[in-house]
Order: sequence, then C-alpha cells, then structure tokens
Amino acid sequence: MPEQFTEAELALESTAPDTGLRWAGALRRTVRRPTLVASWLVIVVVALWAVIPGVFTTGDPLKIGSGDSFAAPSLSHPFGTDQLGRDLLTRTIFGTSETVKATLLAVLLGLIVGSILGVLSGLARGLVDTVLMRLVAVLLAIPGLLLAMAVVAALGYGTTNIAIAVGVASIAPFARVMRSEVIRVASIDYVTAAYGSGAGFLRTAWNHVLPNAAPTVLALAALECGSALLAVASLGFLGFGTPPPRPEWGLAVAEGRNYLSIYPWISLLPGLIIVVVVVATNRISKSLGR
Amino acid sequence: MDGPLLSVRDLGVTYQDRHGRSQPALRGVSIDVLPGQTVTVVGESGSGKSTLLNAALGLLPPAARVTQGQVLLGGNDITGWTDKRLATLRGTFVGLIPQDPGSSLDPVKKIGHQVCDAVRIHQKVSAAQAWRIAEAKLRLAGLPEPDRLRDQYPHELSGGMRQRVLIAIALANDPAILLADEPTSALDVGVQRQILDHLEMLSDTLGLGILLVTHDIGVAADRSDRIMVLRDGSTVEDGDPGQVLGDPRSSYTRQLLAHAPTAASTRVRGAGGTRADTADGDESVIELDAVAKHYSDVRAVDGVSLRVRRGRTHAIVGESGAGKSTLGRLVAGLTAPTTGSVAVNGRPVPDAPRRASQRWFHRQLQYVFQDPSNSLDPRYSVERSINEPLRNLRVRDTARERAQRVAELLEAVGLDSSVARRRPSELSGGQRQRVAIARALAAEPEILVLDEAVSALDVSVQYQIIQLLAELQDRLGLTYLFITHDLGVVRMIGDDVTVMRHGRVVETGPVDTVFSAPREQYTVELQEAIPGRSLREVREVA
Repeated sequence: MPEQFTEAELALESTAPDTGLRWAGALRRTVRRPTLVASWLVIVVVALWAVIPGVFTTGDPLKIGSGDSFAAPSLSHPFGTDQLGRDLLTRTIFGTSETVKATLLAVLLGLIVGSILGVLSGLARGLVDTVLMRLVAVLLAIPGLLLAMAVVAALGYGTTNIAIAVGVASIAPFARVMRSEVIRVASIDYVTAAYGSGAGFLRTAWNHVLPNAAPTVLALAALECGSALLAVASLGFLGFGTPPPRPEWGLAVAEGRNYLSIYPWISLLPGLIIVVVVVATNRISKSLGR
Repeated sequence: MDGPLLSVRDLGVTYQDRHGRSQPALRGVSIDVLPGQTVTVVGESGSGKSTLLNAALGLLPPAARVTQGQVLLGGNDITGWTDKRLATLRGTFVGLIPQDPGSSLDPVKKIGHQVCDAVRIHQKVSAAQAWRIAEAKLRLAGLPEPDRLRDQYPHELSGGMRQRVLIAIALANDPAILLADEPTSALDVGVQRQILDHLEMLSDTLGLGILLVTHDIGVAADRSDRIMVLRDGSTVEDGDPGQVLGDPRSSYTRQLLAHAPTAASTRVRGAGGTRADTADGDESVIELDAVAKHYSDVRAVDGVSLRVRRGRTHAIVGESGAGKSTLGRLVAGLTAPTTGSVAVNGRPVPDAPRRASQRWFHRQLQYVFQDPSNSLDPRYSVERSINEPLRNLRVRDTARERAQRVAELLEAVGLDSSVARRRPSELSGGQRQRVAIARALAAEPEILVLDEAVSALDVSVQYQIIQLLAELQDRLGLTYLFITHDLGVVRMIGDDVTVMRHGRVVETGPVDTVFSAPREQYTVELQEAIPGRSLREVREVA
C-alpha cells in the first residue's frame, strides 16, 4: 500500500507521549476484572503448553506405562492414565500444540480471506457487493462443521487440512462483519474529509477505513478462536485429524469414549480443558468488543 | 398549595468517574419554583444543569452521589427515597418533558397507546376512559386531532408534533410542576417558538410551575419569571429577568449575553479590526446556475441560482429540510447536481473529487463539517490530520517544511503547539473544531464551505470560533459559504444571506438589507421566531 512515512513522521509516531499512559490505563482496567485476568492466565498457560510442553511435564506422551493402566487421577498422574498406561496430563499438554496450531491457522485464514472479501464488498458496493455477499450467504447456509467435514473429506486427513477446513467455514462471519463495519466507517465525516484532503481511494481505505473498522473484526477473531477450537477438537474427535499415537485434544476425548461409564476421567479431563479455554476466549472477546 | 412546588436547597452532587475519583457536578445550588412560575436554568455543557433537573426527579444515575442539601417536592424531602416511593410523585406531581423528541417516544408503539399507558400508570381506569383522558391531554398539548394520532407511529409525526405528544404524556396525570430539559433544542425556530408559547400558556392557565433547562439565554430571556445561570456546578446569577439581563452581577453572564447569537447580535469582526476593503469586490467566486438535486422523489434543491462574492461571508439560512446542506455539498463537489451547473472560479466543480486529477479543486475550496468529533479520524494525532492535506495535495514538499507548516497553522487557529501530538478524544469540542479549520486551511484554499460549523458548540466557544473565522477572513481574504439554521449566527458573521425554504431561494441580499427590510413574509416569520427579542429591548433601554 502506498503509505510512505517519512522519518520525521515516524519519529512523531513513536514519541507520542501518551502511549505508555494508555497501556498503563488498559492494564489497570484489566486487573480490576478478575474473570478477565483468569481468562488471560488460561490463555498464557495454554500458549506455553503449546510452545514448551517439556517444561510442564517430565513424562513422555507416547511412553506406555507398566501395569498401571486406567489409574485414577492421583498426585503422580493428575489426570490419570489411559488403557495403555500413558499419563493423560502429559498427553494433554503435548497435544496442545497440534490443537492450538490448527485453531490459530483456521482463525487466521478466516480473518484474512473474510476481511478482504468484506472490505471489497463494503467499499465497492454495487455488483461486486451483491455477488460476494450471495457467495457468503451460501457459505453461511451450510452448517460450519458439516462444511468443514466436507472440506477435510476432499483434502484428506491431517491437522493442516482440518485447519483449512475450519478456516473456510469461518470466512462468512468475518466477511459479513467487516463489510458492515466498512460501510459504517465509510459514511463518517472523516472519510469524506480525507478525500477533501486529496487522498485517493486506496489511501483512504488503507489509512482511515481499515484501521477504524478493524477493532470490531479483531474482537470477532477472539470469539472465533473459541468456536474454531471447538470445531478442530470435534474433527479430531471424529478422527479426521492427527492419526493416533500422537496426542491431540479432540482425539484424547475420543480415546476415552469406550470407557466413559467406568473410567470417565479419560474423556472428561481433556474435555474440561477444552471448555475452559473456549470460555476464556469468549470472555476476552467480550472485553475487546467494548 | 402555597409553598414552592419544587425547592432545591444547597444541593451538592458529585460523580464518580472511571478512575474512582469524584468530580463535583453541583456545588451548593438552591432554587425554588412556585405555582404559575417559569424558572429557567441557563448553562453551557458541563454546567450541571441536567444534573440539577435529574436530581429534582430523583433520577440521578448510579455514579452520582448527593453530598449535601435537599430536594423538596411539594414540601416532601425526597432525598434517599426509593424508586418505588418516588414513582408516587413522578407523573402525578412532577411531569418531565425530555430533550429529544426523536428518541423519547417508543418507535414501535402507537401514539394513542403511549399516552394511554402514561394515564393508566397512575389511574385505575378502563381502556376507553384512559383514551378519553389521553384525548383531552393531546388537545391540551396543542394537537387538535387526537383521533388521527391514535393509530399513528412516532415516525409519522414531525419533530414539533412529537414534542407535543411528549408534553401530553407529561400532563397525563395532572402534575403541578413540569420539568423541561432543553425541550426545543432539536427543533426549528418556528416550531420552537410555538412550543414555548404553548408552555407559557399552560403555566398561565393551569397555574403550573415550570422548570426550564436550556443552553440558550435568548429562550430564557423571553419566557422566564426567574433566571438562574449555572457555571461549573455553581450559581453565578439568580434573579428576575430584568435584573439578570439588564444588570448582570457576574462577568460570565455578561459574556453569555454578549456572545449568544440572538436577534440582538451584531457582526463580529477580527481582532485586528482592519478589514481590507478591496476584498469586498464584486467578483463572483462561486456561481450556481439553476441547480437542482433530486433524491428519487424528494427535491432537496430545486432550481437555485446564486453568486457568492470574493472575500465575503455568504450565509445560507433555513429550517431543516430547506436544502441548505445539500447546497453546500453540491458546491463542495460531494454530490453531483441532477440538473444545472456549479462553478468555482469559473471552472465547473468536478463530479468525483476523489480522483487525484482534481487536486486543483481541493486547493481552492475546503469543507468544514458540523461535528468535529466525526470529521477527525480518532486514530490520527492532530499533527497527522493537518499533515494529510499538506502531503496529499503537495502543498509542502519535504517533511521538515510540512512540520513547520503544521506549527504555523496551529498557531493561526489559536492552538498551542502541545496539542499537535494529541488525539481528538483528548481535545475539547472547540479545540477539535479549530483543528478541523486548521486542516481545511492547510490546503491554502480561497473558499471555505462551513456546514453548521459552529452549531454543535457551546455559546462561548461558538463565539470564539466565529471570532477566529472573522480574523482569518480579514487576514487571508477568504470567502465563506456559511450554512446555518441560526439567524443569530448569521447576524454575527454574515455579509450576504440567502434564505432558503423547500429547496428554493426565498430571498437573497446583504444581511442588513434582508434583516431590516425583508421583502418576503417567510423571512419576517423566521426573524420573529429568533429567541432573545427581549434582549434587544433591554439593550435598547440601556
């Protein structure tokens, strides 16, 4: 995009005196809401699990234990063990990276493609808008999980393919929200004023419309993280994702389902982790949307 | 009842802000309203006038705390009353006329339903009886055909009619006192006058006490038995109109009186006072020839021909729907005429001013919007906003020159260089409008189109901006196309004036001629509706 900052302007941007204050204020407001703090803590822990799982557990997720299969949760095995005696906490922690990677990839895909469609639709209006929005309506008409399953069936199994499938299914809401935000922002006086200041169409779109439309869409992205995580885990549960011995959250829930009535913790505890993370992303999204 | 209907004694209210600090909104204010009396509270935004009114109804928001004093309604101290207990007084003893007739009625309920609802809250009557009462109240509020209104929705009524419906609702349970919060600020002057006349009539005939809250000292001057001026939560003036208007005690009241746009306003000149006479040439810079703009079946502008002379302020005035804003947008190239032509300096105004090839046009003409909180990008610092035209229109070539020019422009509009790095949200309304003017001037235009550019501002800020505009005009020889609904403002800044109605020109000519010897009946009516006639009388006596 034709945004060329000169050095002087960059200097001005970076020395804005209030940036530090603004962050301090945001931090203060966050700390005053305990559920929000807890949500952020959950996300930070999960992120660390995904990046450096070895720090949180000394075990090996694939190691088959000797004799103690179906051990109930205890101090040595907080989540218990499965039918092969593998430590379930270790498997959950090591499974994080697969699930989180797929979730983030899916949301990123939906965010980028959806935003581009939404911006095009909202700024061009007319025929382009009509055609794009009809396509989005078609996408919305198909239940997300069903669409994702169809895409995985076409692409083949695997975490990346799950991510693409879930991402495609989440394009529609991003496109819709981005379009309505763009239309809202484009009708505010400062956009007209930018044209009056000699800015062209692309420059105005990039400098004024997009930055002011983005916050709402980013709040949606946080919300979508929750539902994407759920969709990724669901597809994993159904066996579309990582093939067994490798750990993954949805798969972990699936592996316990045969023993649900006798050894419920095998499915329940990984399932609980999924629930907690989804609720945390929802809470964070709500705080961003304000 | 013999005692005061409403008595506020030494009331102090503070608000808790987001950071937990308490901000005083009222500091020991006292006021009495007697039966048949109209008491007017005048103040600018932040003066505490709305807080006073809400406190009188027990309607303070949760963030507010009463720190001292009492509010007595009909002799009862309502401090600390629960909502349930207050509900026995609200409507029956005290009626509220809210500010905005556009949003104070439920858009999905019929008028008849809404008025009957108000009746049946306090009176155990059948639906038919309720409607009979509602009918009488609508008539009392000056709506002669209640049967037609019964099945209409708010959007089918004009602003003035909606305000009358709200008055009917306020009267539904025969209150002894009416509280009116800026009841006419959203209305055209003609309608404003009718509504205020009507309230006066109600007060006289029914012996109602009225507490009127307004920012417009002109309104206060014409209608009050007693005037109180509030500033920063304190009473600066309290007395009968003759004393307050004729011999105000505080310098603030004197300033308000001098700066409010009223029927008594005079032309504001730049501080230098030396206006180049050569600027008053006869040369046209803007020419409209039989311009019309139709939106499907609405004729917003319907055959207007107009010449704006160089170096002068040409005011376009009219009520809402007169087509004056559309006219401004046509001149600024923001919308294209259906028929006719608009020319600036002899060249036709480009159809699509978004293209780079039409930069010449933006260098000659800039547009200033009504609401500076919308016309400045909230994410841009002041510096970056003003820099935008300098760079895009190639007014200055290097970053160093641009930075210097931004500093000059800030100085020219009377802002300290320290605001350069702030964002619009950190500025006051007046400062924002100064920034918007600085941005417009950055393009070094000859012409500014100002669309209600001072209408959203408080009286004293409005006056400062008008002064600034006058000064800039003297210094830079600018031509203004000044669009406003306020004839008082026209008296303060206009050289020429065009009165519009229903998309057509009613009358055009020099301000002095048009206002002192109007040729058309409509111009006379508009002028008579401007509040503040009594101010002129006071001034003439003095």
